[in-house]
Amino acid sequence: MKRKKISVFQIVNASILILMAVVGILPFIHMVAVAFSGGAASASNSVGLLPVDFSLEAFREALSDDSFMRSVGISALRVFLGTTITMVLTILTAYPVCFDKKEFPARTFYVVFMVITMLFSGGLLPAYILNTRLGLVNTIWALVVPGAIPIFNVIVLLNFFRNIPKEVREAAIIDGADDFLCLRKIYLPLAKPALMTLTMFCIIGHWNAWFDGLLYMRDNTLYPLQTYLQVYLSSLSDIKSQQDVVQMLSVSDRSLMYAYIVLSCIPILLVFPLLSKHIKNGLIIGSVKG
Amino acid sequence: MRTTADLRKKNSFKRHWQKHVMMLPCLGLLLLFQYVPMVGLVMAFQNYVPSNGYFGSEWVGLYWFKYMFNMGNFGSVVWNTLFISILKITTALFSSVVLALMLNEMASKRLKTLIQSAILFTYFISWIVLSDIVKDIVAQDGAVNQIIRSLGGEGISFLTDDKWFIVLLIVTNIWKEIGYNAVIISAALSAIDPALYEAADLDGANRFQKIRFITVPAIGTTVAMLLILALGGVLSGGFDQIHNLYNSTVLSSSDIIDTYVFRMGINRGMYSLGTAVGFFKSVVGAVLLVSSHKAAEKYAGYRVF
Amino acid sequence: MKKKTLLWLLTVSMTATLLAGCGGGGSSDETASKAAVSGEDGPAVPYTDTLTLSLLYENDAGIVYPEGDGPSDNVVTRFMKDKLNIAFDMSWTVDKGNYAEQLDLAIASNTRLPDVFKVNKRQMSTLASADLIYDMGELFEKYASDNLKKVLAFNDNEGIKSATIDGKLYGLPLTNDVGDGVSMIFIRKDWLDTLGLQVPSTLHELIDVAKAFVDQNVSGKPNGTMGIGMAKDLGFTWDVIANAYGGYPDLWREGADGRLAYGSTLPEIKDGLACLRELYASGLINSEFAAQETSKLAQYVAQGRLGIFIGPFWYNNNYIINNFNADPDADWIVVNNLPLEQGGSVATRAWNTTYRWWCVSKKCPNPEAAVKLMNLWYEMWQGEYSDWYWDLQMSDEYEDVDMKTYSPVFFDPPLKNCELDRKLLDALESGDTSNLNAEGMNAYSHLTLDDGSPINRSSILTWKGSFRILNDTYDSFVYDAYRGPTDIQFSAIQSVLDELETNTFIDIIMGKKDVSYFDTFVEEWYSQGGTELTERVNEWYENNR
Repeated sequence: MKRKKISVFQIVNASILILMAVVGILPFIHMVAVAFSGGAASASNSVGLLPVDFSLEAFREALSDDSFMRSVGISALRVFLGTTITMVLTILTAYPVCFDKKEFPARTFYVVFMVITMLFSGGLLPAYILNTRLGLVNTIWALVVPGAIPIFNVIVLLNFFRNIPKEVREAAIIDGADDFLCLRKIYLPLAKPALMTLTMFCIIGHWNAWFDGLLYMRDNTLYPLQTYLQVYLSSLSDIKSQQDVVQMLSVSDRSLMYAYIVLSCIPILLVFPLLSKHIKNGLIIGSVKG
Repeated sequence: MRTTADLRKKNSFKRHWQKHVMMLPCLGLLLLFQYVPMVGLVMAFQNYVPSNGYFGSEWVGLYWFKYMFNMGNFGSVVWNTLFISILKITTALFSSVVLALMLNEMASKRLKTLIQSAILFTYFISWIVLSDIVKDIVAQDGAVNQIIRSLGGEGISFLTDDKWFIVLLIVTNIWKEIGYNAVIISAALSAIDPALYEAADLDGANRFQKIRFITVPAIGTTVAMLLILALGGVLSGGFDQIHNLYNSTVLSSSDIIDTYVFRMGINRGMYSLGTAVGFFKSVVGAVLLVSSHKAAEKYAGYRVF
Repeated sequence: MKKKTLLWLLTVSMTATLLAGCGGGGSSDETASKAAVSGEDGPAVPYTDTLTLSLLYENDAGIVYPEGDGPSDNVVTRFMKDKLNIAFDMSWTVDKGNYAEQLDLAIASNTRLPDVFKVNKRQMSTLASADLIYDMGELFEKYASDNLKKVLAFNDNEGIKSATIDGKLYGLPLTNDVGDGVSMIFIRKDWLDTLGLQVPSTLHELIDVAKAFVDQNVSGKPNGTMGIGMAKDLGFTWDVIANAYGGYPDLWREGADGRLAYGSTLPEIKDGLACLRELYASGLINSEFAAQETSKLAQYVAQGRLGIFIGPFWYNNNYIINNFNADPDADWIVVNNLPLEQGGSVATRAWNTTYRWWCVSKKCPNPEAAVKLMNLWYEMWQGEYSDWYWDLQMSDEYEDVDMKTYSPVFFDPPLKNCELDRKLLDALESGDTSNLNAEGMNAYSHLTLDDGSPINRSSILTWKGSFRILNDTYDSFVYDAYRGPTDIQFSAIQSVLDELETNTFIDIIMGKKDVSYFDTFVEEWYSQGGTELTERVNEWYENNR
């Protein structure tokens, strides 16, 4: 490996990228600063990138909101169940259709069957009727089962599978491996980077979903986090009772809003490095094959 | 009597039964949760009365479709959807390609990872949260306008001016999506055989020539795939983003099919109308997806499915 | 291969159809048996065996219960059980912000509805045409107490008429205070004094005051003082401006020809719009009002940046108390809707007192129970048992909560507060409190406390200001003259027209369109379904005059 010189191009290129990254992140820094600022400064919009009149009141209030904390728990459960179910099903579905038509003739039917669901949907009400009849309303299953197989993810994975050289599999089949063994011993290890990426998108998708929560959770005590945020961030500034009035003075609703948002981002921040490490490794592995 | 075809068929099943078993859960779930609700599309042709169900409600033919097309603003809703989607798709894809190329040229892997992570971060944040941040910082007294004013400019009403609102949609869309597309394109870039670059070095190619003749063709299929998938959703236009950002001042320029269905079909309980609009969207979307898929196969030689 | 695939798909879609076949069938729920009473049944006769009614419970995060209590078991429901032997099943809970949508979905999906639930007008029409709710007409006649009949007859039977479709009464009106939808103008009195200005008596003077507030930055805040509060729904501010010019948006009015016409399309509206447009252009209305929720105005008031806002009496609580808290020197007055010119007069628009009704599902064996509960609630809130109720409400245990949020049914006699106000003002003048009930005594104690606390000052503003105005004016309010049904087609057209209206008006106000565009709007309004609505509305009007 020869040593690379750092050229002018490198410096310019790196500076532009760093600038872009910083501009993209600034709003979040601003957000954290406001969340930690005192009521008056935050309400008058005079907080920049550093907190003014440092205060933890907003966080104290957000953390004492039971419904909020409960919604975080519901979202966590949803992410766990949803990701597990979806990943297992995506793998099982992508494997058979990664063979071409000659090898597996039924593939055409299965692919058409899946693609049609991408094109047409019955709309909201029929889905609601079905899920009500199935007794899914007010249960976590309403959030994880109906959309358990995202066809988009299946397509991504099947394309990845397709790029795995046939010879590897054929050698295994000669050795007597069946499909399940093939999938487990050859495809899954080789597709690890793709699987990690899909897992990450799955986690994020479930963490960020809000509309189904609004639809299928009749009671606000069952809302997942993003549904809770959607419904309550907009009504934050409505004054509900006399007790709130006193609090208003120390906490501005801007700080409170940002405190909620900061808290809701923490789980993502925790998972993020872990998964992005896998992606990074995955990309290096991916580059080995031609 | 067994023909050879029968034999092949039997063999085929024997050979593939495990694959069929793997497909079973998918078949069952899609059948139940995707195909069964499609029966509800009949509502688009009915004056749907709940107690009578799908097959007992009064048939009104194309009433809701006529209603939809007779409404003054439906044309502009369709136009907005296409206009905003295409702008968003092209700008986001172009900027991600540029970003991926720039990242690929970085010498320091650690810095590259750091920047990639920073840019990817917004992709993981929901529009619920992002829209609140965006609305706060682009308001008249928000951070962005404070900066513009301190530089001597005039404050801009991003949220109420039709043109600036579209700009806002596009910029925030890039902000959120750029990292994701860039990751996918980066994956394609890292799959390029380093020997190609080494050969080009021997031939005396400069950096830009290498990009032009090796890198860009190599990511062509990936970009095509992203484009095709995006075109399939051209009629969706980003409900979460617009629903959480828009207001009635910019409705005429930013109301898209999905927000329209949400307001009319759900907020106001007009399910038959909502279904009719959704049906219209599905049909047009299907034509778009199939034709863009065919085009990709023909011109880029790339199969998505 | 292709043929086979097609065949497969056909089979699949057939199966799907079969599976979905049960979609509309409705579940075969058995109807519970009817609960009986001993002897002659009447408005307040209890059941012999406990009757359990299921309700669609509207959950509000703000409701606090004492330890161990809950929506279906608390001091109010226990009292109801005691008096009528009715218990409640509130296991079906819906979040307040999501109530209408969830009920729409439940209706549309033919889910078995609870026995009794609140609906809006459109939902009532749908339920009636699907034959899912009772015609309450005879039951109401038979079981409603005289008190209840009197209360619900307010404003020429507004609530009853609106719930009558083809001569059948499908919902029991849940009336609200008449003042809930009547706008008045709140002004920072201390700012007027600082600038040496008079309390405005015409709309023009009000605008001059707003101008002075802004131009001289009377608040002294670095980011300036605002003129007149208005949010994206235009709301009460628009009502007041339009009324001054004789315009009445969003309601049906009888014209000179005896036919009903839609207020927003009449020529007076144009003048109101021109006025708002000028206010906007001269910076007296926030440049971003069209993107702001009404709650934003409450913040501006609390922060001391906004000194003029328009809304009904209860805005006082949400807006001004916070300002009093933040700034003890702040002082507010409330004035009635203002005429355009000196010596002119103005009739204020009032929103209907009923916008939600109580419906009884056909599956409920005892529909009359709903009427009995409403009788009882009236007696608890204002009648026979009101002393018990208000004493409890003011006891230490319940002082900090609002007990009416515990009740499975709530409605407010529209003139209750006006009547109470008259008694209060008399009592304040004479010092004789014998006329006051427990609720009156509660208010009286707040008013006479005079400790300068925000709550005391806010009470004074409400009872000596807002309700005095309402008492003087409620006879001359202008209401929506259309009380006919709103079925799905009617509401479909209305939705489109409402959006057209709001967007056009905001565009005109913000200067994106010319004032003369109003005429184009009227044409569009008629061509996009307004003609049909006008015909239907007038057909109803002919038959129900």
